[in-house]
Amino acid sequence: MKKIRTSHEMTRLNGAAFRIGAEAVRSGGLELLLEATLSEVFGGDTIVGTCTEFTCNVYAPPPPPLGG
Amino acid sequence: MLRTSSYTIFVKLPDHENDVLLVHGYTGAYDRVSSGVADFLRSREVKRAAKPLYGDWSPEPESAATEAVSDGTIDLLREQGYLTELSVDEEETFFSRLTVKLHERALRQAPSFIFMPTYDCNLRCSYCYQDHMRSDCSFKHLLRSMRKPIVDRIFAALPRIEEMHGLGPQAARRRNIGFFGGEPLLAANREIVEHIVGKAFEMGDADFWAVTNGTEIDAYRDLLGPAGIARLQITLDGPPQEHDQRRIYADGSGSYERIARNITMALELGVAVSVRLNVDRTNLGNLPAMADEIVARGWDRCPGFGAYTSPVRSGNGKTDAKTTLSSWDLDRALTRMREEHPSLSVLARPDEGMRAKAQRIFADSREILPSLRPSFCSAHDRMYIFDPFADIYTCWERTGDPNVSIGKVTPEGEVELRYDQMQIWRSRTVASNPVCRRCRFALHCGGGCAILALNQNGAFNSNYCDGFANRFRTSVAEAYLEHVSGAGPARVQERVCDL
Repeated sequence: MKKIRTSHEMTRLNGAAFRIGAEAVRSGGLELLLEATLSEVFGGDTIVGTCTEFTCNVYAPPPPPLGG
Repeated sequence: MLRTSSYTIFVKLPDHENDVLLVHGYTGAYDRVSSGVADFLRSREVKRAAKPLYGDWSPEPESAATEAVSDGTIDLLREQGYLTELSVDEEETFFSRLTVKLHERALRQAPSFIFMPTYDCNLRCSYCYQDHMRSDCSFKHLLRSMRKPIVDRIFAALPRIEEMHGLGPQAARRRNIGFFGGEPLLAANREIVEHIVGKAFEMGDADFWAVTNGTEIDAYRDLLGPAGIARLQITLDGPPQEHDQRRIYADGSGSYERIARNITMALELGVAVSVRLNVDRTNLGNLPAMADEIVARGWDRCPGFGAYTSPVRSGNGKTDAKTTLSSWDLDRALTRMREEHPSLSVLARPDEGMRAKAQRIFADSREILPSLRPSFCSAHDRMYIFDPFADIYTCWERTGDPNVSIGKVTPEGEVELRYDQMQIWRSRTVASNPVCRRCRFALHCGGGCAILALNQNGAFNSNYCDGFANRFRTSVAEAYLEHVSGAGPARVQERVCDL
């Protein structure tokens, strides 16, 4: 579920998929950190594509059919 | 020192002075903020945000605006990525590395395979980018159909290509196989297409689709349907009179009635039919008549039917650039025309998909993973196109010239790749040119079509924007307003390629 955090000035409509702090970026090892982060966010190694040329080259799998 | 991320996208809402939407260019965050918060972020931008689509930005905020934003909001802005401690250069470097990592993952997707049974075609459309193959006899050698031994050796090679994408022999897969040409579904190609379908099923499950002009698909009746060739893209260029002037046979006669009859047949067989309308300034005005025609034929009541519009590009030297429209122009023109002709809602606008994606983000109670596009299309990661000579290409706009093929399948079924060409095609990302690398929209856009970029800028690794910044902000704003008004997400017609 979306964790709706709001202040009177801001309403979150979709959360950031990841956050990598400035220190982590500066401290080296960014490649490994990105690899781990993206695996966590998007899943494992080989991606068995479920989309086709008909759904363009979207990175994330297409959403389930509406009303299905 | 906290500053506004260079990849923060501001989306002003029409007639909503007090609220602004924020979208982050690489974290996938979407937020609604007060105009005060938007001003605060703008005051901490190193480079200026693009001009808003509706109205103007309020005057440059005073530094005192900082105090007006609460610590809690600043924390939220950091959490979502809109505020960063990275310098501009550090963030650009981070963005590049993120893009490369995303692209590496995209390269590991299961490959998609496209067969070109022939470069030949029975139509002579003036804007066709392959026109020279049929009209210049020095290309006559290309017009040979694919033969069964070639098909067999290509199928022998498929597992080797899959292995390059990390799929071992035991990996579960459902192959994605398309047909393209020339005209792939000419009646004369029937035997070879059936052979391809049969070979694919011998190897496992497969989904088939075709880009066809639809003139002779009645010869494929028994191969069409959910269990066979399940999806077709067929082009119509307007109502009968208009279409018959543009999509003509070699003798100049029109093709509309035959195609229309076949569309009805395919829909009755349960095929998903996506009608593409190539639109320029000369046939834009006929779209309401085309929409009426679709309704009159009852196609819009078939669950598998959809129709979408796509701008004609001036790529083959025969199309006057002055007659063409950008995707943005076409989207806006159709939006305006819909007010007067509601039946035009059966024709999807170019950016319908972008709007629907944003609507799902707003409507879904779950967090939606960002649909980040490190590159524009699968020519840059997983597409393999086999022509009748077993040459392998990665973009159908660049087929028929072995000099730009990415390899070939040998008579022994081995895959010989040309790494120089592979490197050119498979490494084009939004990090491979400085304009995209610094663009806040880049991972939503993918950098645009490589061929159109090459035609426009003379450089393969360059940007082709096609009005994307305007298109994205308009789509997000419209999707949000539809969401808050209670309208559900739209059904989106799938499309093959933006070209």
